[in-house]
Amino acid sequence: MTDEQFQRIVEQYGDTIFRLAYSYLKNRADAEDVMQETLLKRCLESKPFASPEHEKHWLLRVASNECKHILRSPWRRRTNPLEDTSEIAVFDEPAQSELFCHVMSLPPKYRAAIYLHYYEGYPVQDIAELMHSKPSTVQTWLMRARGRLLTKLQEAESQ
Amino acid sequence: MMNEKLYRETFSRLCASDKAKKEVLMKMQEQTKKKRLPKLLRTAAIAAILTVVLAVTADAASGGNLLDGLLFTIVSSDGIHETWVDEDGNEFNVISIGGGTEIQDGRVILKAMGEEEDITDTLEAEGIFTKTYDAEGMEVVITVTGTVEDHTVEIVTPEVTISPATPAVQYSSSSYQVPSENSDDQVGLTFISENTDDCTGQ
Repeated sequence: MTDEQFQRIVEQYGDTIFRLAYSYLKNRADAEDVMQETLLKRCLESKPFASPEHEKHWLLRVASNECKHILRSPWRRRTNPLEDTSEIAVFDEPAQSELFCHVMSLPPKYRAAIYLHYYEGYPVQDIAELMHSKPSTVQTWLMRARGRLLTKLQEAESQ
Repeated sequence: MMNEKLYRETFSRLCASDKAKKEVLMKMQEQTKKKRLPKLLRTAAIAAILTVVLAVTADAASGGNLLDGLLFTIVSSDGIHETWVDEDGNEFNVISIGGGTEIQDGRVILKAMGEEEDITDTLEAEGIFTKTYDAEGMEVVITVTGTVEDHTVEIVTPEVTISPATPAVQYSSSSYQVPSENSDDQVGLTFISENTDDCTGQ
């Protein structure tokens, strides 16, 4: 793979991988590590991809596996990443900041499923493949995530 | 109900830093340029350098010490054509012939000129497999003899497979006798095989 080809991949998929990783890990440094690791694995992958969608699916699957690996680590399970929301992104409206905080308060698998469904537009079946789970389980995660978000937003509005 | 538009707008603000993206580009370049050369290529490069030294300087005093600490950087590669630079900045244009065998699920796979070929049946039936490749107009004959478990590979080229970009030096014909080593490894050239593991300086 040439430098130009790799640069194209970084530009095309870097942020997508980062967003998925951040959804899982809620930590910029870890998410950037996952992005780099995933892209380097892509660099070493010699098999051709049938389409850009196939390539993106492969990258997101690898990234998802990397995130799960980090989440499983004993160190990670004993600690909680500390991160100031204002450092991760600057939002135009308070509603964006509020939604971001509410989404990030969900469990990692809910956050990842929501990202893949609502941002990347993947159907439940594809998310199940990416996250090594059953479609019915993903459906449940999405339903519960939506329910929790609705409750949190209603609580915020009533205050 | 989820406000999808708001969600997309919110998360579109989430981006990896430019620093992280630049870092991964640098890591990729390091990974590809500093990769350990396949043994066949390493030995072929050393053979070429030895030829340069012998032809140009006739430096008999260099002896076996010439092989110590050689390190090449691959500055460009398309899988077959590669440009190598040694630690002194000398540039070498290399045609990566390959010619190694691998055992995959009990099958002998010959890897040469960017192609992979299952030669098990021919090797078992006839005890020999020969194929001629065209390397930029240069005829390269690879012959595998023996059994699946124990075979040798011979690569014969009427001309050299490596020529230096600077200085321009003509090479004599070369015939390399290559022994089969570990089945999952690249093969090496016999006449300098004792030095192969140390020659990259890694």
